[in-house]
Amino acid sequence: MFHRKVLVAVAGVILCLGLSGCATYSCGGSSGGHCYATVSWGKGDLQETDFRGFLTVVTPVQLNKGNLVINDELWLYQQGTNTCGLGACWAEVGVTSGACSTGSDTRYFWADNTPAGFICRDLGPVQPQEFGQPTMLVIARLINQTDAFEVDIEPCSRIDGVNVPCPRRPMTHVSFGNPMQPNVATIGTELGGSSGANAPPATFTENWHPDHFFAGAWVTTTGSPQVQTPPLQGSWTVNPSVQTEGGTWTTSCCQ
Amino acid sequence: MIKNKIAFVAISLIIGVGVGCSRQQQHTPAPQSAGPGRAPAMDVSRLGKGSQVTVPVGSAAIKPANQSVPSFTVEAAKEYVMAHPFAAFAGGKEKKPTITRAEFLTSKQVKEILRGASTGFADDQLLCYVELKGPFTFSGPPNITVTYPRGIMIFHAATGNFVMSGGIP
Repeated sequence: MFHRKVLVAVAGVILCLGLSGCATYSCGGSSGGHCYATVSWGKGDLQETDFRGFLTVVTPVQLNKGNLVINDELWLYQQGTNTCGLGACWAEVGVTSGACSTGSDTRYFWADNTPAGFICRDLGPVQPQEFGQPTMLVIARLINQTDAFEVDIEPCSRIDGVNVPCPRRPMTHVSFGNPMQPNVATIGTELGGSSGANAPPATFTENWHPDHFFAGAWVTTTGSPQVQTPPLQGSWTVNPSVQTEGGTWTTSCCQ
Repeated sequence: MIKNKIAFVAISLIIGVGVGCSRQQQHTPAPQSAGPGRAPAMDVSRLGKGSQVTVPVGSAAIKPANQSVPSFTVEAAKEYVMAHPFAAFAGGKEKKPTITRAEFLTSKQVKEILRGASTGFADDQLLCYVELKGPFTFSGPPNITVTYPRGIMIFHAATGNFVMSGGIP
């Protein structure tokens, strides 16, 4: 009996090391202190007088939340205000393992923090054919609306319209009663917890910001990266300052 | 060729966003053209095009006890919540959140509690609303957290799926 327990423990350690998913780290807990591998742009960075929204294309990868949560996502928010729960107002959308769901599989989600509170919605699992394929993430103010933002996830879609070999599956949502005047957009990975998380490299491409007329521009600046290494990795693998469609920001976790 | 493509997607964008937003406000913006030096190489003509807001699918939680709606009892929801503590609870490791309200409500009623925030469901969709005494803390963008005195967990009344959660003032 004793030998069996030892064998199980040894096997667990070997499996753990083999999967590289058992690293320990200090990325807070349920009350914050999370780690990030992100890049942010202020409205000034993007030369926007009217910062209406932001779009990016993420490639969903198999996320493992470890003992808390890991997300690949887009945030649009107003920093420096306390009108939403005595804090910043924001909207966020992306792919998660652990956020507002019961399991640990990889799922789509969106959330917002408004004067009504913070609310997170579970949009269901990433379909097998959608892993590694471009998924468009959108947060943009509705035209002529002062407090409503469209929040979209569209698996198997690119912003530039290039065909993707899996069926598009648009999911549209609206963040109502959101009074934010966005002044920052952020893309990348958020990790919370202390052990066991894992995420292979995910890319954020086609980074784009619409202007007042819903025309817009690719991002051409590197923004402000914030990467807590270890356990996260994050870098520009294609610089947005060259002639590309918004560069490529690549993140991974705990490998 | 590239210019033609850019022009096409720019027009698609303008039309598409206009159509997408009209469902909210019955408003179609006047066509606008991109300014010089901009790169509107973006096709969002399909975004929200005449589509309804997508409902949260949720993840499996409360096991339905029957085929009717609701398919489980309020007691079953309470048991589930107590057995699966809300991770955002920030009241201390030794303490647990307490349930202060649990009942079946329509999506419209839930929306009123949430001061107009979107549930994504039709107004008459029955949901199981559970409210807890906190505090509850949520992480947002880098270096931003927010804390609320009450937590909410919302389940689909037919499937028992856990569809929404969060904190409210």
